[in-house]
Amino acid sequence: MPKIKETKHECENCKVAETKAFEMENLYKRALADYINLSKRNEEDKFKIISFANEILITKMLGVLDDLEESQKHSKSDGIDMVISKFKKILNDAGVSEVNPENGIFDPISHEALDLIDGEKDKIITVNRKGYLLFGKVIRPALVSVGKGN
Amino acid sequence: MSKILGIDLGTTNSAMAIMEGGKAKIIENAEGNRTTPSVVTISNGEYTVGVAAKRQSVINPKNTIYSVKSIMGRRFDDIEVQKIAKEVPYTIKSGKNGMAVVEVDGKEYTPQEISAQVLRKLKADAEAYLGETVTNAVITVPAYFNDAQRNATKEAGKIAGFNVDRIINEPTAASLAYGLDKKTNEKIAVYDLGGGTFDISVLEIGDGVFEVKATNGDTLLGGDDFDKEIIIWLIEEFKKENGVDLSKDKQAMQRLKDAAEKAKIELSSTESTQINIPFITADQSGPKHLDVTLNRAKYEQLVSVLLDKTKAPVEVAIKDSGISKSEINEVVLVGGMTRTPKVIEIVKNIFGKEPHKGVNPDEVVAIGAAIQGGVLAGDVKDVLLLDVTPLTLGIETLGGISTPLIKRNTTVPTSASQVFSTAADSQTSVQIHVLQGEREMASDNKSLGTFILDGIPAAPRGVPQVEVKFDIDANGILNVSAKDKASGREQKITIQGSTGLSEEEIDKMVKDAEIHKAEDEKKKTLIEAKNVAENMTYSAEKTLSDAKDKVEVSKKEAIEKDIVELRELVKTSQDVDEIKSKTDELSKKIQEVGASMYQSAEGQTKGPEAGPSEDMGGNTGNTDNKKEDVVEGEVEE
Repeated sequence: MPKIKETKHECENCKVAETKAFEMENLYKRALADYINLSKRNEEDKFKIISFANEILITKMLGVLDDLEESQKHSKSDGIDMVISKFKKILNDAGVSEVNPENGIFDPISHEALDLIDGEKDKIITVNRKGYLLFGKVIRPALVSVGKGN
Repeated sequence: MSKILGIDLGTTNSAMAIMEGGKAKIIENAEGNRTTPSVVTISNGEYTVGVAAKRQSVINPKNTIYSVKSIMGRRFDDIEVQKIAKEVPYTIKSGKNGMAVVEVDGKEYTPQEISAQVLRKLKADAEAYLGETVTNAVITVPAYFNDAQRNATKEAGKIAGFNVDRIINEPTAASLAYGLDKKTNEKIAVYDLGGGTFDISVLEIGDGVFEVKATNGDTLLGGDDFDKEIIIWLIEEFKKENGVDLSKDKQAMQRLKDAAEKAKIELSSTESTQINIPFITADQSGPKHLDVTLNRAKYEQLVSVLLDKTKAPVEVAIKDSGISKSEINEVVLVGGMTRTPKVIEIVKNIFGKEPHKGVNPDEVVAIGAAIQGGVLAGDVKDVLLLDVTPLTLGIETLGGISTPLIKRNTTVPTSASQVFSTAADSQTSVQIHVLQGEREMASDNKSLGTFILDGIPAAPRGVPQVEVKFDIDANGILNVSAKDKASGREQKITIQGSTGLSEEEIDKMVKDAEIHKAEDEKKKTLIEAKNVAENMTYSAEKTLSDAKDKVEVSKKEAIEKDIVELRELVKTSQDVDEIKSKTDELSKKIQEVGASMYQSAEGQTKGPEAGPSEDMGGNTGNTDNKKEDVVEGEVEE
């Protein structure tokens, strides 16, 4: 009876089509979810980019600030003092804050140990180079000498 | 199924990537860095991982474990382990079954336990970034890793809480990042000069499967050695100049290290760099400064011994692979040091061909691992079905300019629409000329078809709004429709296979556009200036007719003369500046007329002293009185 065969054949096609449609729906949902998640993250990334766009430039400028401060130790000029405070004000306005942990306890998140020297264990004895944060993120750790506890 | 994290578990640094929107993307760690030092500090049973561990390595040398990958899955009596044990300050000893283990504070840790800490950090940071749990990973290992080393790496993944879907070879991952898995029967050389190790691998790809034919390398050669050469040179230069030895001064050494790394990076893109460290030290005579210039030639001379060290392993690997150099089809570079021009030159000389570039060599392995993860998860297969428009699609607008609607490399299916208008008064039809190509002028691009939309109600120029819509379906079939918003009349055209150009044709069209960029820009600028000028003349005529007798006759005649002159310029002149200055002149005169009209209106009404509102004042000041994003369409008379 050819008619019955035909119906069966159609049903098989239906099943294939159904499975395919189900697969496609799944793929579509995944693609859509991927896209939505991507958009959300893009928004977050954009915020980060805006906040930290100056990070590279600022990090480079910190080297110049170090040099100015070092030079001030030798020359003690009021003029350079003014230049340094002006420089610091600009950095401060841009979200930069200083990490100068003298006498503090060593913390590897914001400090980098240069060497171990005489002094109380784990205490920062000398700050060799100040550290800096940009909106709370360490952009340069403070380079410190830590007490070895003898 | 959750995402599969691709991890490059490196000797010095590790990196991770994920498939996102069909592309592999590096994930930054919690500190905001794209790579994480493979360093772990164990203190009182607690772990510190990554940059924080590295920063305290000086004060906890015996508890800070780095390069643990070098002893992974190896026996303690292995020559490599013995070599590493001499180099590192922490203790390596023989553990269970004679395997190499690390001892910290009297407790034994297997290399897999230490590596697991790095992987655990990567996992946590990836989860924080993605906002979902990540359970599956693809981890890369050097091609020379044996079964024991691979199993140990897999075990490290398990300890960290991952289901390790696959362990793949680093050179294979790098090849995947460049899409080389799609090639058949090709031979690939992967040159990997990283932070601490050098590896060369020769692979063969057939039917999507990579086979490692040979590997070689140097486990104690990397970027740090190059920095050291610069530091030694700086110390010598300073000693010659000032008689002071900086090598004993730890703080000065730290500054030299930073400066050397910076100089090395700069010399990859510039011919010479200034190394300038003020106040590096001081003696009785006062402060001393270091100020020297290092040029690329000198740098290459300093590191030539190191560079030469990579040549022999390459030769051996090629020989072992049984493949001749000329048979190598592709060369892939991995590791930050391969940015050095001299390294690229050496590789080019050895293989006689340009290596692949484009993917960040620090990240290429993690990217490849993520792609492998994507293939396993089914992401990549689906995405590959999506095509891109190889060339920009647009229509011809006033003056023969090609105005793009869909830019090249846009993923399809996609659609875009823009509203255009008429260029002449009472124009009742527009011709839509569909173009493909990167050139500025319509005549230089490929014409895909034209159609006419008529029946637009007669109106002054710039008033009718014709919406042109481009829609490309997933098969690359382009539908272009134009609809007059007022009458609702619509016409459309279907263009089959708008993406069906051969690679050569596409390349040629893109290259042509680059070659002619400057002259095309010039042509376009001239036409745009003419369009603005023409608009100005119409706008001036309208203002005069609106003002009627409120304009002094002499002023009116002067403006009319300017209009005639400007129109003549539009027809004959090729000088953009001349047209612009004449347009500005006319614009100023018309603004004066506008202002005087307001003044006389104020005088008549004797109203409050408020000046003209900004909206209205803007009308005559603007040389282009069309609505925003309404571009005039090609005129069909």
